[in-house]
Amino acid sequence: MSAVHIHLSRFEGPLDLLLHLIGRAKIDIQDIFVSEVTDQYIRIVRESGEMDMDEASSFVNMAATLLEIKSRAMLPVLTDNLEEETPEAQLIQQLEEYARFRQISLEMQVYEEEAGKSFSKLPEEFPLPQPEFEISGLTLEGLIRAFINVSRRVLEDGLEAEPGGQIEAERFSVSACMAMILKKPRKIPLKFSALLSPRASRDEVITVFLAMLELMKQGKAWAQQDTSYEDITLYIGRRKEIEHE
Amino acid sequence: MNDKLLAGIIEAILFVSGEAITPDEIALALDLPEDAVIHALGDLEACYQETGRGLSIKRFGGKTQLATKAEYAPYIERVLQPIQRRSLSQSALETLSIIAYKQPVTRMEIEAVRGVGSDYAIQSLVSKRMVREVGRKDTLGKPILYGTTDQFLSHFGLGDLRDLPEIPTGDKQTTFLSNDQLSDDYILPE
Repeated sequence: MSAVHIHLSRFEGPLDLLLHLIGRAKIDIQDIFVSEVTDQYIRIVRESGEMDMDEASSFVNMAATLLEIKSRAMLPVLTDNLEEETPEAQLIQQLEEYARFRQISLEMQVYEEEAGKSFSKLPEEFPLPQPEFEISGLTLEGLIRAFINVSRRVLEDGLEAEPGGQIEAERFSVSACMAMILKKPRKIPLKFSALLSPRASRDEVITVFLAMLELMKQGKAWAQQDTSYEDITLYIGRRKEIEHE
Repeated sequence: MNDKLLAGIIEAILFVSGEAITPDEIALALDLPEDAVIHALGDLEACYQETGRGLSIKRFGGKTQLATKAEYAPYIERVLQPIQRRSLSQSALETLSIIAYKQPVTRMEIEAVRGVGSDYAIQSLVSKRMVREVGRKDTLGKPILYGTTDQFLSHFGLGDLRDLPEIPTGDKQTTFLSNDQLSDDYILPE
């Protein structure tokens, strides 16, 4: 056969190369093992020199299979092994299956080309209109009354809407609250609500709560709450020590 | 509502929608029985088949889409110069046809046919939305099963999987599995 140099990268894998060689030799797939095709294949892989490992492995693997088949053919065959599917038959079957799908993929290419001639468009884009607010039942009197209500509430709360306002200094700090909690008796249940002053501000509640979490994180306390919104029970000390007693 | 009016309404809906929609979606929106919509789609299609119309009804995977007639492609391309249709590579096509005929199928099963690693080809088909994961095979390692998408049908101009070209028959029976022959040895996604 001609010494045409064949680039492996042109092929989709060892089966593709084998089919190419079979086609060139003008033989049937069935006759691959009584032809020169397998020798050609092995030579091509051997002579291909530097190959990308990923690409090469499947080609080399096939070469090994072909060599194995060749070497087996030289050995006497045990008769009781005849029932089994031989590697030859397996490879022929694989080649036939692959040939079918290669044929199909060529037909699919025609379908693809034909379907590509028909164009469709993207959906229309409709920008959504600005949302409109419908205000009904509002009178000038109502508006004035609402304003008076708000002003009165501001006065009652003692929060005068002065320009600039006032920023109060922090009255509670997490570290101070932690120290406060740690002064409580150890290992006996404490109610979270009891840690707070009688008319605790939101600021105080949050700070004491954060102090409790910090103590739990440090392992100096642990807490228990059976249901949501229930008062939290807090224990000072390590959980293990407390549970032991 | 007479038939012509309904066909016109549906044409307008398909035009605005652009994307493929099911007759069911149209029927729901118009508060009409699905049969009426299917019938009107048939009327519209017949109307388009006459010469002098540039559009056609494209059907795939139970959906309907408005598309230009294939025979006018050369003229369209003259106006819209850079229409670049990217066709699939040989390896992608091979992999895709194996998935199309053998779905649901695992990567290993695809590679057994092609005799070469196909991970890259599969991933590229997934990213092109030709192929998607359809479940896991109930076997060692629970490998991913792949199947084709509606996008695949559309890309190849197929109405459904039965429109695939027939497999050339060899001496051995092909291993084609139709959808109703699927065995129990795979599991569908939850």
